[in-house]
Amino acid sequence: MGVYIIRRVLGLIPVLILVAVVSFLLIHIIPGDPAAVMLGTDATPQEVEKLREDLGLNEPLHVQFYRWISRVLRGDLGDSFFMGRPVTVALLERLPATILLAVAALFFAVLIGVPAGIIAAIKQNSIIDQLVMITALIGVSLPSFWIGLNLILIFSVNLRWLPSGGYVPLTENFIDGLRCLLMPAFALGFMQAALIARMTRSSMLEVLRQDYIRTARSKGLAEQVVVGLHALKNAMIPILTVIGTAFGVLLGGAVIVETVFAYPGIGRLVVAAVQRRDYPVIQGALLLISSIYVLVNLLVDILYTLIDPRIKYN
Amino acid sequence: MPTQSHSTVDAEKADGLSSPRRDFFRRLLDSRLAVLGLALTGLMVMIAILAPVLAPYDPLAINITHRLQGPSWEHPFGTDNFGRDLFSRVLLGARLSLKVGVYVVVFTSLFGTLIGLIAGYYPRLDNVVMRVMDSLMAFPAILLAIAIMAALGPSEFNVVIALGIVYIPRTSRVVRGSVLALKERDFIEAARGAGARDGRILFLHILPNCLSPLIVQATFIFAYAILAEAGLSFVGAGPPPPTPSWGNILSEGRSYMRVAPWITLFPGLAIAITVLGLNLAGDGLRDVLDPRLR
Repeated sequence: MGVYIIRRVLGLIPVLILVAVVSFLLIHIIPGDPAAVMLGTDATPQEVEKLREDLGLNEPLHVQFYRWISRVLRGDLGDSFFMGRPVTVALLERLPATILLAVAALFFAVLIGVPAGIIAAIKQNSIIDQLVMITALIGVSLPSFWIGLNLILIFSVNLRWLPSGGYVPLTENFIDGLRCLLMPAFALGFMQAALIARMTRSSMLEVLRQDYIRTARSKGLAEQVVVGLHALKNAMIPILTVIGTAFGVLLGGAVIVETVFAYPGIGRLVVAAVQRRDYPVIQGALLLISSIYVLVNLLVDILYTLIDPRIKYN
Repeated sequence: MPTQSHSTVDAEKADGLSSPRRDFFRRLLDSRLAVLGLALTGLMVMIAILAPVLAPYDPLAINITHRLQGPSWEHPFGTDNFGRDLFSRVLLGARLSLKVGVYVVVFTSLFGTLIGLIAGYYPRLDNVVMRVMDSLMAFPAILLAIAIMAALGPSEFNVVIALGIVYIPRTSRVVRGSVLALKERDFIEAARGAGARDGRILFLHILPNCLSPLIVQATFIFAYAILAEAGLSFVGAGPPPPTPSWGNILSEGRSYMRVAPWITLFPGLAIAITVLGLNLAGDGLRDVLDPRLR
C-alpha cells in the first residue's frame, strides 16, 4: 500500500510540471507585447520597458520559466498589479471561502445525488425512477449561475428568507455563515447532484443484477442490508470517480457562482483580475486550483483501494 | 469478385432485413427521449438559422420609452433596460451560442481525433501526448477557459479557441481508447499484412470505426460548449456586447432582476432547452451507437 501511494505521488510530478508549464505559458499567448497589454493604452514606452524588465520578458523563454518556477516552488506567485500585494497572500486569504463553497456544494450533490440514484435503481422503471431521471436530466442542462439567479429571486427578493450574497466565516457566526452558504452551494452542487444520481443509478443497476446479490436475497437478508451493504459498496467505485471529478469541477464552477452571490472567494478575484488584466492573479489561481484538483484526484485513487480490495496496487 | 444482384437487395428490403444504417435509425427513433432531444436540437438550430427573419425587432435598437416592460403581445419576452426587444435578442442569441457550439465541436473533433489517432496508434508517442492531455484535464474546464480568454482577449473566435483547447483532451481520450482496441483486431492486421501504410490504416480502416463514440462525445461537447460560452459571457469573458449572446443578456439582466426578472428568465430557459435537447440526443445516440458507454 505504501509503495502504491509513493508510486502514485511520483506519477503526479510530470502532471504537476505540465500544469505549471501551461500556467506559465498563459502570459506568453497574449497577442503582442504582454507588458503593453497589461499596462493598457495609457502607458509610456518607458513604463512598458520597465515592466518587461520586472517580468523578465526580455530573457529567453526557458530562463523565464526557470526563474518563475523557482519562485513558485518557494510559494511566490508574484505581485498583483492592481492590489499591489503578493498574489499568494491574496489567494490564500480567499482559498478557505472557495474550498468551503466547493465542499458544501459537494455535500449537497452527494446528499441529493446518491440517495436519488439508489432509489431510482431499486424502483427501476417506476414513476419515481422516471421522475428522478427527468430531474437529473434537467439538472445537467441548467447553468449553475441561472439557478443561482432564480434562487436569489425566490428566496431573497420575494420570500426574504436568505441573504442574496456575502460570506460569513462559519467560525465567526455558524448560523449566518450557513445562511450565506446555502444558496450558492445548492446552485453550484445541483448539476453535480444530477450527474451523481445518474451514475449511482446505472452503477447500482449493474451491481443489483449480479449473482451474489441474488444469493444475498435468497439467504433471506433484509433488502436494506442487500442494497446498503452488499450492493452499494461495490457500486461505489464509479460513483467515487464522479465525486472526485466533481470536486474539481466545483472548484472551477465556483468562479461563476461566486460572481452571482458576491461571494468573496478566489472566483471573484479571478473575474476581477480578468477585467483588469491582472495576469499574475489569473496565473496563480489557475496553478493553485489545478494543483488542488490533481491532489484530490490522487486521494480519490487511494480511496478506491481502501474501498475495493480487488484493485491491485500495481 | 461476386456481386450482389439488385434482386437480392430488393428481396432483403422486402423481407425487412435491414442495413446497419436503417437499423441505426430504427433504434434511434424507437427511443422517445432521443427523438425529443433531436427535435429540440433541430428546433433550436432552425431558430438560430432563421433568427434574422423571425426577430420582430432589431435586437440592437434602443427605445428608452419602452424600457423594462414586462412580457406582452407587442414584446413576448418583454424589454431590457435599453428598451430592446428581448424576444429578438434571445433569437439572435441562439445564433451566436449555437455557432460557438458548432465551431467548438468541429475544432475539438478535428484536433482531438488527430491527437487520439496518433497517441493510440504510436506507442512511443502515446505517453508524451496523453500526459499533455492529462495535464490539460487537470484544470477545471471553465477556469482554464476564462484564463485563456483573459490572455487572448474577448472575441467570438477566441471563445472557440479557448473552449476547443479545454475540450480537445476529452475527444482525444475517447478516440485513443477506440484506436487501442481496434489496432489489435484482425482486419487491421490483415490491412498491415497487405502492405497498407500507417496513414491508410489510420484514416481508412481505424477512423471510420471510431466514429460512433466520436459522434456521442461531440454531442455532449456541443452541450458543454453552450453552457461554457454562457458562463464565460456571464462573467464578461465571452464575446463582447452588443452582439447578443444568451450569457451576456443574462449578465446584463442581472442588475435589473428585482424589477425585470424576465430579462434573466428567457435566455436561461433558452440555454436549458438547448442543452437538454443535446443531452437527450447524446444519451439516445450513445445507447444506439455505443452501448458500452451506457
